[in-house]
Amino acid sequence: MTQRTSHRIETATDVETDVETATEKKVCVSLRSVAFSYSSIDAQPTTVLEDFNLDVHQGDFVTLIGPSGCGKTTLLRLIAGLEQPLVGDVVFQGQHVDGPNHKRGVVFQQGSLFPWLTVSGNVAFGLKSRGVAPSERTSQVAEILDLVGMSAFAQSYPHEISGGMAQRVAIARTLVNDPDLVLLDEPMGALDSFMRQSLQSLILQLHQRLGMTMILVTHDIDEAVFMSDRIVVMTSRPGRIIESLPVTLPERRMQRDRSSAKFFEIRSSIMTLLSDISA
Amino acid sequence: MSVVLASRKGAIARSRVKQCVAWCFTLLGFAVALAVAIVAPSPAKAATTPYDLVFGLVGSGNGLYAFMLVVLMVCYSLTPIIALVSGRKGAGLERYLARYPFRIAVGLALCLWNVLGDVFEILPRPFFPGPAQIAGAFLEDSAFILHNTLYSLRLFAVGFIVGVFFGVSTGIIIGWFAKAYYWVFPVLKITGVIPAVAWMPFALTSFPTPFAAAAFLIVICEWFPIAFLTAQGVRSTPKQLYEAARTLGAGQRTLVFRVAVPHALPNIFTGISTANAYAFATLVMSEMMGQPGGLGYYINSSKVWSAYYKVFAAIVVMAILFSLILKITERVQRHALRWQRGLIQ
Ligand SMILES: Nc1ncnc2c1ncn2[C@@H]1O[C@H](COP(=O)(O)OP(=O)(O)OP(=O)(O)O)[C@@H](O)[C@H]1O
Ligand SMILES: [Mg+2]
Repeated sequence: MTQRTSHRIETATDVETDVETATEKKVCVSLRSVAFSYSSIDAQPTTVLEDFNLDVHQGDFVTLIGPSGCGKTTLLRLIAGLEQPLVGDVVFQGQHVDGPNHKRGVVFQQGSLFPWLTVSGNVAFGLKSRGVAPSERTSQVAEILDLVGMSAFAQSYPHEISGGMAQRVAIARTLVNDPDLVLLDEPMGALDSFMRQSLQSLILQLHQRLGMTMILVTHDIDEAVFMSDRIVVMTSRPGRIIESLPVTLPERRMQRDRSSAKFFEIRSSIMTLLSDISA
Repeated sequence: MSVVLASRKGAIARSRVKQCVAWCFTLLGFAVALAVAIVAPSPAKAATTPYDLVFGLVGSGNGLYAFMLVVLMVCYSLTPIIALVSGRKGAGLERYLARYPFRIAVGLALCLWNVLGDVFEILPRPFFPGPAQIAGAFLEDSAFILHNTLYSLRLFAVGFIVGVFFGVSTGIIIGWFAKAYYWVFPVLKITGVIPAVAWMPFALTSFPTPFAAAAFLIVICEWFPIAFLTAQGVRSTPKQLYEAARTLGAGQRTLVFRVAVPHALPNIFTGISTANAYAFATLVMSEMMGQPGGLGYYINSSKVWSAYYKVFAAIVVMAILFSLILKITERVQRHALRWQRGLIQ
């Protein structure tokens, strides 16, 4: 199984690099001078994002990093279509975003599984709402659960599995919809470091194997450098991009060495940026 | 090795002995009661109607009472016999064994009641008959009691089904649409505290048959608590679950029926069990006030003739019938909410 997976991953990467050299990558999602603020009854509205511009290319793995409250979650919600911008436009694959869609999947930080459905019921939820035939559904659910290593727990209820397992299920539930873009809002925020690393590898594996675009929000700089093609550093009030930094490491992403000099260099430059913001 | 095996065998044998002892104790109380009933039969009427053919072998109220004790003893023997035959020790057996003190007490209490009420007739008559006299009521009136039981059951079933349907559907509408909540919820809150029987005069005049009127009162009983709790359950659904569902491609219908309703399900069941308690009270009360049948009607018509043993017979039927209904609802609830097991204690 492992062998087969790794073989597939290699072919996927080869294809990807071929495409990259042949043509310029297409833009998957772009935010054009977006402004957003939450309206509240008692206080005056706080501006979360102002004149925000961002392009994310097809197949990229982009990480958003920034101080707490700078609007990272809000940004993901805008892209997901759960919020509408006050000014500007969110464009996904050339089309204006006006609501959620299964092609833009979201993995929430925690506790978003339906407690009344089993693991496989949760994963089947999207397929069922879109009217996929039962037989088709079962095979797709089994396949994706196998991919995230949760087949043994297919009949368990969410409260019977650990936090890390629950996140695997949440990822499977999103991926089974075959999304073109996956938004991950601190999916590993509540996990211990061992769980974190295994989930990081899983997400990278899935990204390379299935080839969709991913946007990850994290507080962990190591995680950002380890996983991304590009790191977007944000500042707060109002949320803006202060740096968009491509990660140029010699190794292929799965084999990135967290202790190499280059890794450390990128890590410390982000650290400096973030400490400048808070200063 | 063989020592371990031997000691295990010893342990098994000892637990066997303990099981048999517990079984004997379970039956002990009933056995005493049975012995008393046979040795000191109370003077009760013999069977008179053709329906008594069913009870032909028991003949009198005392006979039926004794027969019922035998049935109880057989029922209470099923669990240990099955366990002994199959050789397995389940949780069911453990629970069974833990209950024998209570069952002895029940048997002895029946016996005492039998002695005081039937044999020596010490209890004030005719208000407090003994178990043999009550059993006699079932022989005298078997067909009539059956008829009235079915009447009550039918009334409850109609009221329950209609009430749950309307309760859940209005609950969903109120919980889902903010406008409906604003306008209807306060009304529900106020009308919900009115005991359903207060509507009786109105119901009796505006419905064509007494049956429909009583069914309406039961519907009212079920409707309000269920609607109230369903609405609360729907409204308390976490926003994150809706958002997760929407990003998975869920439409409005899916959000209502596959997110909000499952989330409200524990509440719905709480509503149903609350409502059932009201419904039982309303059922009997409305039957006592102007129904052509039902257990409440039977109580009333027996009371007129001072046949208190028949009143008790109706009470026994109610106890069994209503417990059975509660048991069934509980089973359905346990199955529907099996995902909560271990989540909530
Ligand atoms: N529902 C809401 N109503 C009003 N204000 C909100 C709401 N959600 C977030 N905010 C405000 O908007 C700002 C940005 O919030 P957001 O959750 O996007 O930040 P974040 O970057 O994700 O923070 P964190 O890293 O802590 O998750 C914060 O100042 C927050 O107080
Ligand atoms: Mg956030």
